[in-house]
Amino acid sequence: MNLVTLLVAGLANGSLYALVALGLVLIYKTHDLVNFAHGEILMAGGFIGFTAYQTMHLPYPVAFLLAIALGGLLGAVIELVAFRRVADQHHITLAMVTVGLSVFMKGIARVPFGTDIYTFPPAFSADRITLGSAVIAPQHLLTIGIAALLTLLLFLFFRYTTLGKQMRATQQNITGARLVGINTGRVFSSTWSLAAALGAGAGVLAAPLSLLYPDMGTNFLLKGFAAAVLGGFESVPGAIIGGFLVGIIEMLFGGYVSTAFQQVSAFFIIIVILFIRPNGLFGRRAVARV
Amino acid sequence: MTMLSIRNLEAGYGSLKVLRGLSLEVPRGRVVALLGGNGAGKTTTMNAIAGLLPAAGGEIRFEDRELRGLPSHRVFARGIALVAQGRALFAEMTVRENLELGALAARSRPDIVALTEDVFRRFPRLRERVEQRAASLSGGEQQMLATGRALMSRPSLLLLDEPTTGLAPIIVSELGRIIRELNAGGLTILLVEQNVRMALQVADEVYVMRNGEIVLHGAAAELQNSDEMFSSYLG
Repeated sequence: MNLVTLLVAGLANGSLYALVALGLVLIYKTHDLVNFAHGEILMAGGFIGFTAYQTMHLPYPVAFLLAIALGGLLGAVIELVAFRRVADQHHITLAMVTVGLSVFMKGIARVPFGTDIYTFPPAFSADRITLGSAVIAPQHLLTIGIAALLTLLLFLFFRYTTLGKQMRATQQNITGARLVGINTGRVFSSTWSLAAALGAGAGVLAAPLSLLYPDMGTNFLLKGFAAAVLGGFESVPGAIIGGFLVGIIEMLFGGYVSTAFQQVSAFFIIIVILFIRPNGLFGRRAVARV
Repeated sequence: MTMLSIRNLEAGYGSLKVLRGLSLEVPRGRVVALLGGNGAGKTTTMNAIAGLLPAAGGEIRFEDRELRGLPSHRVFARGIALVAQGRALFAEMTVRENLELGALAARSRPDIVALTEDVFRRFPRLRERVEQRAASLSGGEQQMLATGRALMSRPSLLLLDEPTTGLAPIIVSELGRIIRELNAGGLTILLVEQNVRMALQVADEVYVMRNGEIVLHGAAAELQNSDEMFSSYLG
């Protein structure tokens, strides 16, 4: 296999993992909670995009934005209905809530979509690009480009907007956030919205590369989780780089070693890395909360 | 004129009652100190005023409007800023970012540059550390930053919860001077302290509490040499 082909495909998958990891890290930094329903938010985004693009024949950018907007709304609703009243409970309890939410959302998706597997056509039907001996799919380039754009927007949001700064402040010290008059309830709601919007956007991008079915989220959750762990789980740049690494490692492993172990190769590399750096590539020392 | 008036305040943590009917008044333009031993309920009182801890009973009136039951951001919006024990800084952010956040949710649209400059004039050490992370500051500098951050919202009532804990004597007296200066500029201050000597020097009025109740109240000048003061404080 051609190295450039593999790298581009790896980067495309890696950008998706990075988006998933970003959503996980945002929730984790705010609530000390791993959101096990994040894969289902991605699935929901995929189906929203599919319905808008395939069934309702809306233009692709509209379908994409719609998935992001409804994904954000879904996040806010999840926070309001499932978390606001139990936010003070032990984080194991909260994690169980997300597990329940995951099963619930898969069940809901089966009502209109059954157990069928849907194909989501690429955004545009351009031919594959050949660069020397490398073959590059336009959908891969689109995925990398949009993921990069979303990451840049997120970075600008956290750096320059009042809400973004207040979200970072709440992540660092919730008492401090209350002391400076931040409405932390609104910050929680916004954080869920943002994380879910990123997840839903990743779902639309993921659907043409994988396939669309109610259980599709599990694999992305695992890879996104691996990416976040690799990056240290507290670090936004870590999540992005972790995502790229997981995507590229599994492509190269599949291309040069064996496709049989492609899906688990990234996890193997992560185990090795965590032996050497237990807190991840960008993690700080672990602080136990028991 | 009374700015903050607390009557029969009850608060606690779960089934543990810490405040059992606490009453005190903070007149506008004064420095009032709230003293007492460990576990007397001083921090609980401050947290209940600031809306960090829901009060179970009684009333907290600020400028003739009820505060009890309001969440912390609404209390803050009325013009009350708390400098908490432990400082609660944003550890990974710079001094500048910490100060900016102090103003972002303030009542009126703040002039952050002018407010920051004002804080730097009061705490010149912070100016030298402006791009450093809050976590890298010394204890005294962190206390200055926490106080400066609270001032960024231009509060009309400043609550200071044990600002001198763990600080060197020279920093303690500097902090005392700054409290007097802030008060001279028109700020009303409620100060919780373990350092009785410092509190008596800067405060106009003193309340002493024990087991969740006020046991002594008087002008600081009168209590300075009173045996009653020390016996009630020491229990």
